[in-house]
Amino acid sequence: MASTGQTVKSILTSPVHPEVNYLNATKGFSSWFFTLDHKRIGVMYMVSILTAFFLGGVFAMLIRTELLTPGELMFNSATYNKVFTLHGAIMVFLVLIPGIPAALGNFVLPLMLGAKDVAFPRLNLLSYHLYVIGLVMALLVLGLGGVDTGWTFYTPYSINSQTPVVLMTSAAFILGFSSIFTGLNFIVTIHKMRPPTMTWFKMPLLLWALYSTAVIQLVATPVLGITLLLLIVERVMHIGIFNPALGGDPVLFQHFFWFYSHPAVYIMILPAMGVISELVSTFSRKHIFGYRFIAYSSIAIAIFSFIVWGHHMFTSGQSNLMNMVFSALTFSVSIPSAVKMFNWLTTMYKGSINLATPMIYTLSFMFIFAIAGLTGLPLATLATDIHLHDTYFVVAHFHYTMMGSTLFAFIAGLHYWWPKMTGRMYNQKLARFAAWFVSIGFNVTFFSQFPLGSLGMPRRYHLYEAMPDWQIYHQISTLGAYMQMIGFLIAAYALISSLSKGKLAPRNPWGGATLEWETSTPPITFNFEDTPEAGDPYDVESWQWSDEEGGYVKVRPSVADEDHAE
Amino acid sequence: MNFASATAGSLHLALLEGRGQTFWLPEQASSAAGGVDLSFYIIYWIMVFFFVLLMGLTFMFVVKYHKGVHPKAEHTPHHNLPMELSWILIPLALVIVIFWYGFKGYMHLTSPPANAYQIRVVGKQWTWQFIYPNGGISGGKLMDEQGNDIPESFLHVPVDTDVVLIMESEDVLHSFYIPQFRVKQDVVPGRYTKVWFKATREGTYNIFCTEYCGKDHSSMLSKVVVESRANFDIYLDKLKDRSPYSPAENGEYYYGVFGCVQCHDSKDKVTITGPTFVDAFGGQVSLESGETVPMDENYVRESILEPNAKIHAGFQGVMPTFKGKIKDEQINDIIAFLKTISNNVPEDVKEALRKVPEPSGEGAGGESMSVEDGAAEEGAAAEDAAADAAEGIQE
Repeated sequence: MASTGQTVKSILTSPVHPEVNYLNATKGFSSWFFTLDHKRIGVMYMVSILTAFFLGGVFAMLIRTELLTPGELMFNSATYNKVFTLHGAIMVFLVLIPGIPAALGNFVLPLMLGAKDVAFPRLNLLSYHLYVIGLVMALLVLGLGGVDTGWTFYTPYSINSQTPVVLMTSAAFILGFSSIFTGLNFIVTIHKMRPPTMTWFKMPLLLWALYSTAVIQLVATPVLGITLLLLIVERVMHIGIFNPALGGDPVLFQHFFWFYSHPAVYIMILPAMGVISELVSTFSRKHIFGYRFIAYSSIAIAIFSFIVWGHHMFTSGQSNLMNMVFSALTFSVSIPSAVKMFNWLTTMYKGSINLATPMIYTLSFMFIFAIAGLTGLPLATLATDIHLHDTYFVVAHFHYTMMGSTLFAFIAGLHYWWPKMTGRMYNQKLARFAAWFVSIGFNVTFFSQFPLGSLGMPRRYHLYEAMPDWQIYHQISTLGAYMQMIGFLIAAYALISSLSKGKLAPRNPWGGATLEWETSTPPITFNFEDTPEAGDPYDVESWQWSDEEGGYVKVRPSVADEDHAE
Repeated sequence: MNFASATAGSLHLALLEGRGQTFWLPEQASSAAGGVDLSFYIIYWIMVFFFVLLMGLTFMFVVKYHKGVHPKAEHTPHHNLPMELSWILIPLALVIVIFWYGFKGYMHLTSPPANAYQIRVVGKQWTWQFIYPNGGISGGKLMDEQGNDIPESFLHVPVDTDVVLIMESEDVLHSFYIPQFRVKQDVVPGRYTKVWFKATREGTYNIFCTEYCGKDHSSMLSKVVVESRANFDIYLDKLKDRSPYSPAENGEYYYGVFGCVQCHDSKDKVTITGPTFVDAFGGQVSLESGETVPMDENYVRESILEPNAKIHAGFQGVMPTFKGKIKDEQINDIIAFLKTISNNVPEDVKEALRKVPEPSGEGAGGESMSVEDGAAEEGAAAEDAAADAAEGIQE
């Protein structure tokens, strides 16, 4: 940042680097594992989720390598089926769903509210412990040879399968409770613990997103829980619910399953959108554009997410009328998504864009999310979906949404709050290089799967000997996957090496105007020495760059702009 | 004039050669494909337009307002209602149009004409079986040892005819997909589902299973042969009485069609899910109960119709019953096939089962005048073998 010549003076008096912070306040395993501090729980979630991400990533690499050739390369079909099942189950239940809310949300949410902790710290710890139990059970499944049902557990195959399906669904069941408790905690915290001056429309947009997400977690997850329980009951006690051999209905399972799992997609993407809303404003040095519409669109997405599940079942044999209704409703989700996209774009207009690592991931998110959203159109359209359903086109579409969008926002957020979490700055050059590598690798991997799918390649195929023409698309895709792997390893190196070699981070390295930047770096155990005054969370001009500090300093209270007050 | 017609001609030729195939979509071979592809491309260009708009602006802003060239952010309004409403209402209008277009296309795709030609489809792990109105069944082995197609096993349909497939599953979910026809429909156990199409171009196209169904999901393939009505009728007749084939050949065919081959090896003397049948017929079978019974015609017949009555020692009773699905002649043919792969059966019996029976003419069992002596002897040997088999059944 160019020096302005004049010295800027901070109005914050608390020390930037206090002797005692949340990381070194107490020591030892149990001081972490049984902590009630939301920041420590957030960090533990972060470590656990990144571990699960690594594991899911290894399975992804195995899948991509196996598909280099149309025939068998490394393993047989039975093994391949287990590998893609574990990849999906781990990534969905252990990485994407808890990802942003549990790891970043736990760390940031109380800080953004200027609060000392979440409303129910013990419940928060319980939800982490449940997550760990779920993770251990998933590892146990792996040790027992894995499951082969696909992460969707479709009946009646999941009832006949000889693999440990009961253990795997029990793991998902327990993880569901972890998710419910986190959601409950966030709702109560946001309702009851906002500082007096923070009205609903002065909340940072990430909190709107986390709030909407929490509502979905609370309402939808129990449906998954009971569905998986019914599946277990059917497998163990042979009571006919979903299995036609016992008088059940296999399509009923799909309704129950997607009644949760479609909203679950928004459990993943809504917090991602929240993170991007914060980052676009901060790195453009501009007030967010269209605050209210972005906030409303989060709520709209949360509501619409509940009424579109039937689009997963366009070819399942459900009636034409149902398909028509679900197709129409599905399009409704595209509108609030478009609103967010245009508002982020307008925020950048006439800004002063800082292409630091988190912003590279943010721009890459916008590129990927545009493709993710637009390719949803031919899938929501009935006539074209029939051809594209259950092909690689769908695989590409949901990887653009779930990995490219959610995970990139997660990684962007990780790079954004890393200095606050750890107190260290990472090597910008290296991290930025990794960001480019991951982004390009991602698009190489998954863009090639769009034509592959529209040409007819079904998903979950181990062999494609009937269509040797498809090999080139798979090879390009695998090449991209290797690029991503290298990129992620570089990114991990840049972050981890910063812990020992990184410069001490300033109070506010990026100039965000939300409250978490007002505390020390890293924060003290109870977050703030004095309860901060909440103003306009996007008044980024209240923070000015200071060469002396090597970061931004707060020069005046953040005030609601006259444009903003309606 | 000449030039124009030549251009039109070559354009026509190009279209024919191109067969509607593009970078994004496979060849068009059904009446519905053109409409689906048109919808796809309308949406495609809408996607391209918005993508270029969004990313063009993003790129422009990054270049123009990058910190290096634009160190101080300018103050701009924080909201603008007309602008924000415009990017709600314009996309909304567009998606309503897309929805309506897609819905109309879908209604065409899913409403079979009342007089469509009906073929039954049975999906089971991991084969497709096709049952024609005259009772003929195709399915089973798709390739011979040399890797050549066996077109008789495929689904055959007449060209330019409305065909509706009435589909059922014997085990788990499957999904029937022909990319060149742009049709797909799940096959659900416990209910019937339908898919219809009018194939417009003769040729052979892949059939895929697109709903994950277990171990060999990616091998649950078949092909559809689109042929002229005349060829289709010839195929159907051949399929019905399978007259030019020997009992052993028919047996092997049904062995594939009914899916015996999925669990019972007939070549390499290996155990898959069930026991192998190589060198099995004519021997002894030890049962779970401890008894030993002869592997004869009765045992095979009973095991097909009531699989759990006498379970082979060391195996679980997982075989489904074929009662009501298989005909007596088909069981007889399967028995004939099992005999030919067993060294417990005398060579001349096997030889007889491998012979194509002479057409019996109008008078059943009547001697044909044109038959040469040698051939008559062989015919007699075959009759003896058949009599042996009949005795076996009566015992």
